[in-house]
Amino acid sequence: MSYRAPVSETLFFLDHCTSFNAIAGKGAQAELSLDLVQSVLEEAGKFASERLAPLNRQADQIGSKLVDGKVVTPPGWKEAYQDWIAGGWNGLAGPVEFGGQGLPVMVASACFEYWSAAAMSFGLCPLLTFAGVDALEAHGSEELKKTYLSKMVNGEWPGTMQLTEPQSGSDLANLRTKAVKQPDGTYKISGTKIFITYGEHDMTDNIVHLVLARLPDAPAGTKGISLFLVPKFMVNADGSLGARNDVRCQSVEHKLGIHASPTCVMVYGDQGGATGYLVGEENKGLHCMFTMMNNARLGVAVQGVAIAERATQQAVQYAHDRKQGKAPGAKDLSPIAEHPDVKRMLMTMRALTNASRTLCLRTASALDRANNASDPAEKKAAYEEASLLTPVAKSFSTDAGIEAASLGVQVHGGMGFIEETGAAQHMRDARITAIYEGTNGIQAIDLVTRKIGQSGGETLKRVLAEYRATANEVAKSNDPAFGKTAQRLNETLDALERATKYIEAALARDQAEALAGATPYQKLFGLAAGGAYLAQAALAERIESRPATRVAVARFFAENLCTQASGLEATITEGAASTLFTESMLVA
Amino acid sequence: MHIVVCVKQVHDPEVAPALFTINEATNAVVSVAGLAQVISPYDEQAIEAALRMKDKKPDTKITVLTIGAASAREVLKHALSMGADEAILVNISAGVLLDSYATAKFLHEAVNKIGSFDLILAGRQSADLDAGVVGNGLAELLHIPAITFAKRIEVVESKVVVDRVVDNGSEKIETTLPALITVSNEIGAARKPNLRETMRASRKPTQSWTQADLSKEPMEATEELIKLFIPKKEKHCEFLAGTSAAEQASLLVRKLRDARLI
Repeated sequence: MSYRAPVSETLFFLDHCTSFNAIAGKGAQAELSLDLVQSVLEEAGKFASERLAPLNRQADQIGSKLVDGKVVTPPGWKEAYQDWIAGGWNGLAGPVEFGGQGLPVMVASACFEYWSAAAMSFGLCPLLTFAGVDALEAHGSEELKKTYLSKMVNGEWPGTMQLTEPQSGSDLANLRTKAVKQPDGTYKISGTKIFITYGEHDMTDNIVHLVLARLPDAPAGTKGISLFLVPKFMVNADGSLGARNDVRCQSVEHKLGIHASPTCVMVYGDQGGATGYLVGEENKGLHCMFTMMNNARLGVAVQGVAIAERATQQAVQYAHDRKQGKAPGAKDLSPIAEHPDVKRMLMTMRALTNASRTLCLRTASALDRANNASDPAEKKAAYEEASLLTPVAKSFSTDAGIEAASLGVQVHGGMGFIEETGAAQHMRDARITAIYEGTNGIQAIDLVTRKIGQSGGETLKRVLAEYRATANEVAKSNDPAFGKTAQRLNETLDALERATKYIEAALARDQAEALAGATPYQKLFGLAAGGAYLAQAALAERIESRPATRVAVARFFAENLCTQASGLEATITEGAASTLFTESMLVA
Repeated sequence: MHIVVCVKQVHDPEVAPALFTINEATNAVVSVAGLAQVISPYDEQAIEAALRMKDKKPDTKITVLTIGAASAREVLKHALSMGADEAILVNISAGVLLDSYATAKFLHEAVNKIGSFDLILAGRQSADLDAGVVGNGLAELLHIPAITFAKRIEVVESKVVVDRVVDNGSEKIETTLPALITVSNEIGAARKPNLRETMRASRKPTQSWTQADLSKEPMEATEELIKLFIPKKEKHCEFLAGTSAAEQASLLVRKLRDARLI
C-alpha cells in the first residue's frame, strides 16, 4: 500500500494556527517562508513515499538480527540510510554552525511524521540522533562538540540514548552502570543497558552512545547520575576512526512490532571499561537527559500521528475498493466506505489523526516561539506552554495511533487480521509508542503534578482561555455546518475546568486521589485541546472559502469524540475511591 | 549550453483508481480531497537527463517549462529542487483542456519567448493521456529535428548523439543542435532532491506568463473530448479442457498468446 505525505494539511495548519508566520523572516529564521517550507515538505514527503515506504513491509518481516556479534539490518535499510544522509535530511533542524539547516521544530516535526509514517522503524534512528545532538549542543564541552557534533548532525554517526537497565526502567534512581574517572580526564564505563534502540547496527562506520552512569562516590538516587558520551570506535586526533571501544551488543530483542529497529542489550566493560567522556557536569546527568527526553517525547508523539495517518490512508483506500452489501438507499453493491458504521470508523480515524497532528504542531510551535523569543518573559511563557502540552501531545497522539491502527484492522475485516494486508503491522508498530520515552501513565503524572501548576497555574489558564475563545468564535460564526461543535467544545472545557479544580484540591489533600485520575484527566485535556485546534483550522478554512473538509472533521471530533468528556470528568472526580480501594484485590 | 525541459503536472499515477471519480458533466477527474498532483514521471526523467548533462558540463543552464493552472508551480519547484536553474509557468485557468496540438502551439510560443536554446527535452509521453505527440509537434513547429524514446543522450560539440529505444533493442542516432529529444524510462531513475538544493530552489528565478504574454491568437483545443470514463473491470472464469496437466498447460499458453499477453 502506497503512502502519500499530507503536505497540504500540514501546511494549512502551520500557516493559520501556529507561530510560523510570527517567526518566519526574522532573526535566525530570516530565510524562512511558507513557500520554502512547502518545497521542503514536498520533498521530505517524496523521500518518505518513494524511498522508505516500499521497504517497510519486508523490513518488518525480516527484522534486524544479531549475526556473529554484529547487528544486520534488513535488506535495503543501509542503502536507504546512506541516501538519507546524502539528501541532507538528518540536518534539517540541526544547528547551522555544525552543518545543519536550523529549520524550526514545527517543520522538523512535520517531516518526521512523514518519514515515520513511511517506515516507523527507520525514523527511530534519526529521532535518537536528534535528541543526542540537542543534549550535546546544550551541555557538551567545546572539544566534544568539535569532534562529534557535525558528524551527528549530518547523520554519519548516529546517536543512541542509553538510560534503561534491567532493574531501572521508569525509575532511574536505581541505575547501576559505573563510571570511574581516569587520570587523563576520561571515564571507564562498565555495566549493562537494555532496550537500546539502534544500539548496534551495520548502517554507519561509527555510533555515538549517550550513556547514563553513576560515579563511585555519587549521591544515591537521581542526584547521582552523570551523562557520558561513549563512541563505538574511538576517534583519533585527525578525525579518523581508531580502536573499537569496550562496548558490544549482547542480544537483540524479539518484539511485538518495529522489527527492523534493533532493540539491543548493550554490555560495557568486558575488557575493563569503555572509554567515555563526561557531558555536562558530574552528577547533573538527569538535567542533560531531560534535554534529550523532552525532544524525544515530542518525536514519539509525532510517531503516533504518523502511524494514525498511515493506517487511515490504507483503510480509506480499502474501504473505497471493497464492495459488500448495499448501503442504505443504494441500488447496487456499495463500497464499504458508504456503510454508516464504516464511515464512523473512517471519520474517527481521520479526526484522531488530524487532532493529534494539531497538538504536536502546536507543541512544536510553542518550542519555536521559546527558541526565537528575545523577551525573557515571552520565552518563559512559550517554554511553559510547550512543557504543558508535551505530555498531552505524547499521550493523546500515541493513544490515537493505537486506536486508529486498531480501527484500520477492523475496517479491513478478516483481511485486516491477515499479515499480507499490512494493516496489522501498523497496529503492532503503534503499540510501543504509548510505552517508550516515558509511558503515557508517567506523562499523566508529569501533567498533574508538575505541569498544570506551572507559574501558579497561569500557563494552564492562558491555554484554556485560548480554547474557550475558539469555542466562542465557532458559536459566533452561526455556521450551520459546525452543528453542535461550539456547544460540545464548551461542555468539554467546562468539564476540564471542573476536573482541574478537583485535581488541584486532591493534590493538596491526598496525592493518590489525584494520581488515580491522572490518565483520564490527561485524556480529557487532549479532547479539549484537539477539539479547539481542529476548530481553529476549520475557522481559518471558512475565511478562505475553501471546501469545508476541516469544518467537517472539527464537527465530527466535537460531536462524536468530545462527548466522552462528561464520562471522563466523572471518572476523575468520583472514580478514585474505588480505584484505590480495589488495589489489594488486584493481587492474584 | 541551454536546455529547456518541458514538463506536465498529472494526477498521481501511483494512487489507486478507487480514489478517483469522473465528473461526467465536465469530463474532469475528481480525486479524494488531499491527493496531490505530481510531475509526470517521464518528464521527471527528462529533467534527470538534462541534469546528467549539467553534471558533465557545469556551465549548462536548465530552464523548466510547464503549462497549467497555478498548482503547476509545484512541479516547477520540484524540478528546481532537483537542480534545474530557472522555471517558467505558462498560467492558464484550471479546468481548461488543451489537446496535444494546442499544447505544442503554446510551448512553441513560450520557447520563442525564451529565445535561444540548444536542446529541448520532454518525457516520451504524459502519464495521464499517453498521447506522446506534443514533443514531435513542438519540434515540427520549431523546424528542428526530433529524436524520440531516448535512453542515453550525449552532446558532442554542436551535435547530439542519442541511443534510442526500439523494439528488441536500440539504435544510435546523431543530429545537429538545436534539437528536441523525448526521453524514455530506460534512461534510469530520477535523482531525489536533497535538502540543501530544495532550500536553494526557493531563491531560483521563476516566471509566470499568461497567454497574453505569448500570442494574441487564441490557442484552443481542436479536439473535443467526448467522454472520459474509468473502464469497468469484468472478470470471467474459464475452465480449461484437457485430460492431463500438460495438455491444459499448452491450452493455457495458446490462450495467453491469443490474448497477446505473452
